[in-house]
Amino acid sequence: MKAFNHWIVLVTVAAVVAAALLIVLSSLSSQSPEFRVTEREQAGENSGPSQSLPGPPSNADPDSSMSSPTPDEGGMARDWGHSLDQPTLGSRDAPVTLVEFAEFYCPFCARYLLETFPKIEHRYIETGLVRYQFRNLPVHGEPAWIAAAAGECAHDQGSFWSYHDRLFALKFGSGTGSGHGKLDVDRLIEAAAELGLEVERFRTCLQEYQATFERCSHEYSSCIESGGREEDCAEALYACAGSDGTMAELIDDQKALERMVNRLPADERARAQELGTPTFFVNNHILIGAYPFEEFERLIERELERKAGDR
Amino acid sequence: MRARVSYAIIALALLGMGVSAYLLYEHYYAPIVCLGSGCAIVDQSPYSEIFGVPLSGIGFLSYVTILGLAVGTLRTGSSLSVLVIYGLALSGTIFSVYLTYLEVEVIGALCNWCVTSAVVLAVILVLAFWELRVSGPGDHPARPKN
Repeated sequence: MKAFNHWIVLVTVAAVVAAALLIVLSSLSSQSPEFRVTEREQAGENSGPSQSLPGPPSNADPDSSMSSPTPDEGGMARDWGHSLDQPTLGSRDAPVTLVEFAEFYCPFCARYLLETFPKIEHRYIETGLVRYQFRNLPVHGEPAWIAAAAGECAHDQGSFWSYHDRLFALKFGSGTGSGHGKLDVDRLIEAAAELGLEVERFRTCLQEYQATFERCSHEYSSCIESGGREEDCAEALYACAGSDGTMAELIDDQKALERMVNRLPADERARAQELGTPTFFVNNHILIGAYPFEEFERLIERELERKAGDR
Repeated sequence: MRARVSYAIIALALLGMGVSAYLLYEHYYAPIVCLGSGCAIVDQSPYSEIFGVPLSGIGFLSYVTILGLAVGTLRTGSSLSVLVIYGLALSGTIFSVYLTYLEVEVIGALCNWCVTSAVVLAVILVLAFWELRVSGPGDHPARPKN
């Protein structure tokens, strides 16, 4: 029995050493390559032709109403004032509108940004064929919502795209040293400072969002707890968020998604029952997932041909 | 080793195999879209592999080994097999605790399937250790002799 106990001790030590070895190997191999996001400062919102283009939708873009809801949309009066000013790239006269619904916590959104978006940008956005718009769809809970709000706060200072690239790099690149970072409020503010944004203004924007979020999510929870229908409670949440501020902008994105899904052809609408990120709308067609460039190319070319035929 | 413990470890190993097989499938054939589960974030993170070898694959092989050893023990009653199961479960549990720490503190997302696997390993560890302490050395045929 004594000898057997020695064996147990020996195996215990061996197991601990094996686990330690695994931890060391895991740590060594997780040093991910640098996140090579396209730097868009020079071609983004601060200068150049592909900057955010707020303003009335052009006639050449029948789907631009997606970004500029009118009172009759969805059969209900709407007053989401900020939706005229979504982060947008490309010419407002582009024949195709590509809307991305994404979040900063989704690795597939990062993969899309890394592998597919540069090709779309080079081939279609820079050539004026596609107008590109970003909207938030936070699916990973409160942290993802706060990161989305930070994106909107950066957008308020005209630096959405550079901040967008920065957050993805922080979350999925090696910028954190460990290669995978948490985006807590301090880190979000730090990222804004690193990009030269007005930090106090950014902080205030985030704090206002957090205060609204807490107040309204409490109202939503109370509504659900008191037996309210989910749809009714959601409406109460929307009403609580009001029509101004970052929270309203994020809710506008969720509303925009609903409208765009409702506008899809029936067969595509059936496929859009469970949405995740990234989700794309190429004019009036949906693509759910980080598909390779060829899939976007096929859809965009089809839309370009259709538009050419309409002329 | 008593039959009940062997059967429990076999059932847990099968459960662990199922979980790790699912995570392995997600790792290679993920549906390229995030639906809100933390598993996509964890499974696509740099921590999900060790030099190109997916952790879920390592987990699957560990469970297969534990299953084989538990079945073998059921037939032979060898305490040596229990000792190896204990060693595997201990190293797996320690590594799982480290991975769970990474999920919470570094990655910022918790994958329920990974946590399930960690719990399965921990229970196997407890069962194997208990069996070693109770049964001690020597063969304890699981099946009643005729």
